Amino acid sequence: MVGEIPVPGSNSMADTANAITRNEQDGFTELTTLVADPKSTNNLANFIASTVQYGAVSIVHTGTSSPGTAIITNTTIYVSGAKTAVDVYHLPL
Amino acid sequence: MMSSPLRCMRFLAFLVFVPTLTGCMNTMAPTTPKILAPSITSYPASAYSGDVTAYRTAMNAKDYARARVLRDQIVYRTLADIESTYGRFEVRLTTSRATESVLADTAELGITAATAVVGASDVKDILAASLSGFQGTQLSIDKNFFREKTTESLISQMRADRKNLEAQIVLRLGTEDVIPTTDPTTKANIAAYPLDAAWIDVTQYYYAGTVPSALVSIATATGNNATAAADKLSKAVQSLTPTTAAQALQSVSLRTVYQKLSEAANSTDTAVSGPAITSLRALLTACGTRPDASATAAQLLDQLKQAIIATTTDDAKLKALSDAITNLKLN
Repeated sequence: MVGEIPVPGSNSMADTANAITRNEQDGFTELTTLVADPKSTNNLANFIASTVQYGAVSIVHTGTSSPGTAIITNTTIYVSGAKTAVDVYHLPL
Repeated sequence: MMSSPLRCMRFLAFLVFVPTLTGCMNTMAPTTPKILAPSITSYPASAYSGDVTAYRTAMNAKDYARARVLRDQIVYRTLADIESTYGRFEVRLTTSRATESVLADTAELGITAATAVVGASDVKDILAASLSGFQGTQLSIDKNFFREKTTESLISQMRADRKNLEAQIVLRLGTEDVIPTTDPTTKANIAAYPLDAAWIDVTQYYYAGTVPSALVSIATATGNNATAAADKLSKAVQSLTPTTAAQALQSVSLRTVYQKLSEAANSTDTAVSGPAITSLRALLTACGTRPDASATAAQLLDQLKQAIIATTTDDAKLKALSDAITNLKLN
């Protein structure tokens, strides 16, 4: 699915990463932004259509090293209900 | 011979229903007080013309206070006239629709009863055809004139629209002068509400009390509600599908197979593209899609892409496609 899609703020980092991975891989999309929804305790993920296949998505605390390519850095999202600064990576295929 | 029972029934119907209907009509509204009689509440055209001339004269003489009084007088008298006419229209609408229904029901009952009494089959056929005609006509009137809306819903909509417009007119008459002015406290500009502007609103007020306007309002409200509901549903449905780590891996694997097959099927080397196209067909068949025998590589790839997209929100489809890939040893 493309467009702005809510992601539950109660998700763990891994849950959110898995859900984004599935949407990117199966939905032929690419994540462009991931932010906390200012109107709720959920997050908002934005996707655009893409024919390029990337690796699985990994979300880590900001500053934590991770393999792969950083696609979003130092963004604040809800993780397990609490606002957390995170970096988002595409793991190698 | 056949006309005797029919004539008798017609006479009985006359005896029973005419007084009944007359009685019903009289119970629809109390007798109008004499001071609310149309001859008193109406705003004669001659009086209107005289008031408008006086208003224009006051405007030309820059006597805005008098012009405002005349504007208010003209508008309120017109509103009162429309209100009085509308009240009678509501009663008439309710009564006439109810009367039509009673007459139609009566005709249906009468014809049904007559059909049971008469013996000749061709007369029965004529009566049955007449009954169908009555029912069809009644349905057609309801459908084409009233769009199958009840009288109550139409009146309710007309009242709501009229009240909104009336409130708007009264508010503007109370706050806006016949020429642009400035609020002495806030120094803000106050728009003008001359008679001609008020007249536009008064005209809309009149038409808000008509059946076509009510039907449009109902349709618009229904459309807006449907759009709002669709938006709400879309927002509720459109959240990322909860995904386990295993499902995320399946997704990556599925997409990887697609990318490989896509690259191979588009190869100019038939030794590469041939097996890829065969695998595409096998995969599509395994997941329940029957590819056309003459489908091109591009068409097969598109079918697979659509099948993969369908797995984004459907766990069962994701599993089925992943199993098919494993069974065909494509990963």
